[in-house]
Amino acid sequence: MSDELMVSGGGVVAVGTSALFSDAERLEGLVGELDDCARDLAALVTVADYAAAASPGGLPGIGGGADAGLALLVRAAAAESGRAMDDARVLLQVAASRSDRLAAGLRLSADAYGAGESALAAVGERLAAELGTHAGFLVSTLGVLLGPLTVVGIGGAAGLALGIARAEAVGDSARPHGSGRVSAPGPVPSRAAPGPANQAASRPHGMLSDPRFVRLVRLSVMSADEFGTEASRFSPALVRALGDAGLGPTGPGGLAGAAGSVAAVGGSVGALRESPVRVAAVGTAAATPATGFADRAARVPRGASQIRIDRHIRPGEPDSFEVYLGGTLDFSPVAAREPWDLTSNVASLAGQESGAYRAVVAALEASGADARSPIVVTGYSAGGLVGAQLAASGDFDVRGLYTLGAPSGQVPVPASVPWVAVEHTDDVVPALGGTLASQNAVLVRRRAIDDLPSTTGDLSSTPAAHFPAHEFVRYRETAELLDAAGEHRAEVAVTGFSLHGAVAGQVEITWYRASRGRVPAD
Amino acid sequence: MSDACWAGGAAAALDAVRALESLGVRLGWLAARVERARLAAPVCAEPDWSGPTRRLYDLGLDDLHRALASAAASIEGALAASERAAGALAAGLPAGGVPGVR
Repeated sequence: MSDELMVSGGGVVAVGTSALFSDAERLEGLVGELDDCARDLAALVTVADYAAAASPGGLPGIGGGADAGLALLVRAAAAESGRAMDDARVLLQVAASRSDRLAAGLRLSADAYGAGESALAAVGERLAAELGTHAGFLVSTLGVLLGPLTVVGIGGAAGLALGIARAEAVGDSARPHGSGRVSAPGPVPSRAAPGPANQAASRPHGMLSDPRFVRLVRLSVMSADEFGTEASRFSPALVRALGDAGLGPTGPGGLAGAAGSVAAVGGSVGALRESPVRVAAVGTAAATPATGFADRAARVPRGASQIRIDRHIRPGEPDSFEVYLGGTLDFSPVAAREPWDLTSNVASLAGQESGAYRAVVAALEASGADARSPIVVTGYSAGGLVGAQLAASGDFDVRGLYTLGAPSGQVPVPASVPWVAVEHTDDVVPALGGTLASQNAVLVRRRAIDDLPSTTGDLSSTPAAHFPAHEFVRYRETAELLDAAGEHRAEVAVTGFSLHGAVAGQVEITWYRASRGRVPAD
Repeated sequence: MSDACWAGGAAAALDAVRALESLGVRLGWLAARVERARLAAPVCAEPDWSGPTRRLYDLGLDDLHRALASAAASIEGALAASERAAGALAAGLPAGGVPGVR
């Protein structure tokens, strides 16, 4: 794995290794320490000045005659001490100033590098949009000839949503229980050692984990709007399907529009249909407030419960809450009992209130949270997408959002919500959410797998071989690296996340299990 | 010189000795702090980083370490000089101490 983190936020992109961020942090720490030393020296110089004032007449106790020479010696030595301290003071100020400049230079060079990369990404998006327009024109022309087959194009978009489910199946395969379901809710069994994850790096995953492919997917998603606009010009079937779903020419475009189209077409054949949900508390425990990125990642539920809510009981203040949301658990396109399913994924991508979203709202209400309760949300994969929707809804006072491998880039999270999004550049799942629309979010990227083995292995035998970069264990590794990196923007964000929990006198954990009710008939 | 004047001057000298000794202790602490800071400062950039920015960074680190080493040397010099002054002053005081001054 690589320990290089790429961090962006506030409209700038920083590229640098953890070691360089660590250097910058150490240098910034030196500035304060050296300034303190210089100030202390300035105070000590006055002591030396007092002794330097010793002269034959200044210290009569020494007496005259031969003692006058001694007094001169004392005066000279004290004066020498004072001068040396003054020299040291100036040198420490110089060192503090150099430390400050070096730290600033490190961060500036990382930002400048990232700005170049950001500009290249923008050019790529523009090119992809133009290609999407041309491709859409081609498909629409073919659509006139082929009629209903144009719907196949929508099927391709459905494949994107299926990709989330498929990749999360891989993430779940790293769980202690192969099915991803455990008999009782509880904390993550143990912190995954890097060993198994590194061993997984040798699995054949090929093109799906190639960062170039991931970028292509992201660009394709971002150009879905141009593709769809052109394609729908001559396709009555597509226009009818979009119109039925309220996604016609005036409906939402881009990724949401494409996902809405998928849901509309899926619904017509009994797939991807939403249903009522209900939640039940299935376990409680006491805990300490979360600290840092790795600690929060470790609290994401990975078992029978999909939602964990930590309630911070704060003396004299309203309770605050930390919500942890896991990834997809059911990969069937037809909704059954599990709301953490493909149906929720597609609904969420379409910007609709999915079953998973409604379950989280219900769990929050059951925990005692209301519109004024400070809430911090952490979510992995589809859980991160739901968390971003929660932050975007404005229905709750979300004070922090932390997503891991979530396809949530296009969710309109308000700039006022501090958001740290962690994505692996070789993980296709976050790419399915498009580029990060929020300029204020702190985007942390890392390539999870250095080597790219050939695809000659038996891919069918191990589903995990397809999307190793999406494995939850790898995101936890990245979270640990982020904690260690000392990157300023990430530290500011995580300090804000911990602000409300820090004063909690008591933390109560509740695990919630959500389930779907009957899917309504037509 | 009257006895009172002599005793007053000796007391002042003793104060100066004490001040210089205290100065020495505090300079010793400061020397330790600067040494810790010197050890905490990055030494060189990681090997994977290359190019002109890396070279500038390395030069900056060299300058920083030179400044810290010079500061540490100056503090050591100040410490030695203050100890010399304290020792000389103490030598000039009566062997049995200053009457009326502890």
